[in-house]
Amino acid sequence: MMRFLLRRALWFVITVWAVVTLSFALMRGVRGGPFSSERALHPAVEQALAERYHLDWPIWKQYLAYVGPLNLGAHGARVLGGDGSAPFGGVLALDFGPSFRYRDFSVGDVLSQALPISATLGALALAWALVVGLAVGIVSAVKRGSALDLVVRVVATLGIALPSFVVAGLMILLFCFALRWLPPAGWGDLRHLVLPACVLGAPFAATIARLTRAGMLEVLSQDYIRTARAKGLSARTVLLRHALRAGVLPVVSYLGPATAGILTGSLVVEKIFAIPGVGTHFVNSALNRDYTLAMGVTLCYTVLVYALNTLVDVVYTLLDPRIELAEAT
Amino acid sequence: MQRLLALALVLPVGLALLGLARRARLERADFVFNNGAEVTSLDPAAISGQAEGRVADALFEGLTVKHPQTLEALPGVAEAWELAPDGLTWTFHLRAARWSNGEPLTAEDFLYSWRRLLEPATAAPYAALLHCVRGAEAYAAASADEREARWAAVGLRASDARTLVVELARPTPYFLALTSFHPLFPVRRKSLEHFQERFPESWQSEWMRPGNLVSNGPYKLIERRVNDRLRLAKNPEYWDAANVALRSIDVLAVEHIGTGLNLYLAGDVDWIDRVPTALVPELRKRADFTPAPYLATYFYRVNVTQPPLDDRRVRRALALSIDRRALCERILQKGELPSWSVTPPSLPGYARAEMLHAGDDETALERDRAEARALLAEAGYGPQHPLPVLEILFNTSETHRDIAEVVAAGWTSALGLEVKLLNQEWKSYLDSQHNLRYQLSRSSWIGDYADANNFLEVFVGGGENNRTGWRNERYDGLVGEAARELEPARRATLLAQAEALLLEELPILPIYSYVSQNLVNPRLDGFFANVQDTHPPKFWRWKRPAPSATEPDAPAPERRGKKRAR
Repeated sequence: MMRFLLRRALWFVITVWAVVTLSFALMRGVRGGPFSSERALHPAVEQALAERYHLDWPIWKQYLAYVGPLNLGAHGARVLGGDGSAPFGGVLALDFGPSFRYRDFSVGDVLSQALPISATLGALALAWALVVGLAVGIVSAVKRGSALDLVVRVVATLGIALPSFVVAGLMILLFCFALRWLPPAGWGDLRHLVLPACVLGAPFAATIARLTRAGMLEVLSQDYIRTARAKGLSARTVLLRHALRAGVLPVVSYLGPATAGILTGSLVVEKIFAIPGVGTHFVNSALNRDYTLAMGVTLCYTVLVYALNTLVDVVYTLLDPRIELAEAT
Repeated sequence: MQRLLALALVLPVGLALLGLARRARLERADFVFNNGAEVTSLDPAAISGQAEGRVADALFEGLTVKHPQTLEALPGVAEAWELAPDGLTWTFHLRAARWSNGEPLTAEDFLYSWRRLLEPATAAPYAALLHCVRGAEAYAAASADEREARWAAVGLRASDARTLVVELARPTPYFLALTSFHPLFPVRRKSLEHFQERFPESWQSEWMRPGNLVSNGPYKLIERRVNDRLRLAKNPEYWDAANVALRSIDVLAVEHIGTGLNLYLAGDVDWIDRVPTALVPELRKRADFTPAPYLATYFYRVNVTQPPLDDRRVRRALALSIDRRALCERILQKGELPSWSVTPPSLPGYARAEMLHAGDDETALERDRAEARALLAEAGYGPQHPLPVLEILFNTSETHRDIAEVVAAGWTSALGLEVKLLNQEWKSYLDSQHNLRYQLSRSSWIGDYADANNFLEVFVGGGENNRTGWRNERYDGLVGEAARELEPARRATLLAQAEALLLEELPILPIYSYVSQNLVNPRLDGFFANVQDTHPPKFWRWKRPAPSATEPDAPAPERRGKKRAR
């Protein structure tokens, strides 16, 4: 276990370095700059902004300043509120610099506001996807071939097939305008969370239901289940203690990709429901050429996905003793 | 194992609730409007967009304030002003106004803020607006060492704490209008310097934080959540606070136009400024949807540096063959006006020039297209020698695509041209335009103030907003001469001559004049359609609910949630 985690940590450093470098190169490689607009800036103003954000430095120097806490020397006089910004700490110092677009915020400010919101939404979506998906999957497996099973399978297929903006539109029509139970968008209280969490979790609930059903069906036909039944154990014990443990394994291995999917899938949902989470920044920062914010968000996603995948691998071994972590890398 | 599974379930839910608990709940504000985007900054010198301007108008106040309907200058921080007979010297008499922390606001604050605007290091997008002040342009261009000495020569001084004297380099008919425009708003020197000293690296984010920001407008900043909302509350220190009716305002940053409309229809938002084009026919049936003309023009830029579009006749043929009426009536549908000019209609004291065309009747388009075919033939193009394929560049949007398709179809059917459409996301599109990597490109220009100069100086040779490669010395001369002209009527004539020349040369193809698309809660008072589509927040108030008003002025907070906009 320890060796596994150490190796993961090593790969983590390499991954982060690669992501930082690649996102830096991609952002700078793409056309257009953070300060271009329909009403173009006067060249002198553009020059002043470039100096303030050190975009006038050679690219390698900007890269070094972004990665490391290498204080390459502030320049520019601090006249009348003009310049004065020294280079920021850099990724190694966990300082991602000022946002180029939202001038009154640093990337850290933006992320610390947006991350808890996306985490709340994602966690709720995942929780309901798990609860509903597992329950439905188990019931559907036990009652295989029944009408209930058929309905579950049809709904699950629909849930996977329909894109989230369609589901969102239908739900808004139903719950906001027909029934008037819930607000159509926004962020302020619990009622604002219901629809987005449902929409975000729906395809994952559907997938989990299908995986659970398939896993349970396979397990229920195994010899050891028959043995357990023959021992006279109650159907419930057999199901929950013996079958579920093995039947749920595909779901656990799906949790890694599911978490990543919920993280990245949230951008559509966040847009439709006007939720101020990370997903919106992920798209907008790239469109706005907000170099620092785009790189910060990408890095943030990298760390999250990496950490959650590692966590899933660990949970997997705890559930199934046949798997050893050394091989899982 | 069950325990583990349970943990896997409980953990995320617990996390979620923890996340919820972290957020303080906000009651709905008295008035909520959608600003369409997260503002880039609150610093009045650093901003240039319409969304940012709205927030600045609530937080700060300049020497004057715009009348919400007529846009004429009303007293703001200045209670009176006069222009000397030379037409160049303005004297503003300041009232005993205060900052939101209670400190007095003086003429010195304006001197400091305007100097800061001119300072190159401030990187203010609108710094050039103050170049109409004597010596200001030279000051901004001077090297850092010389600047201190040059300041004395700049025509700005405070003859006492309550009197600001401005000497202009040239008569500027719109100068008074500029004093209500955000670049000229005052910022508090002590705050700025305090935070620069305490946070040499991050002062920019510190001095604008709720609690740190000291402003002088009708509202002050209470809370700020990125991409969510700004919460503003009435500023009790504001000189006219007795006449500010709303206790709080929420400024939402919802980007998705459909979501904004949903929020409005559900009653969660009281004003949205954009609606989905596809729903316009439906929305026009509503009394609260009142599009009105405003100072903005939609046109195509032409890259005049490459054949065949370097030929004026080809450009004119293209301009003549656009079916503007079909565009306005069938695609845009909000009452947009076909345009043959670069300036919008209704500029006060200005008779705009139009490009020559057959007229506005039913058959005019056919006559125009006949002329267009003749022009192309004259330029040497015809069935035997067709024009090369043309390409229309636009920034990704359904409406721009629809418009480009109609324009392209017109050129194909009337002139037999082959036309391709190319869409690019915003920043790439701007980059293509800037570097003249296009043939024809969708464009627009929104006026900052109601003056033809604001539209015409864009196309002066070499200007950063020209972006067509077009340069005409006579045009530059006319625009320059107009800037120096003292007599308003003569100035207007010069500008109209410049516009006529532009429309002869056609480095741009005018298409239509915009209308606003506000959807506003009919219970809101003090909100009017006007040509700048600008709505100063200090005048907003709720209409009193019929006779049974129990609380004077109170905009019934329990409105929230139950009531839906009609």
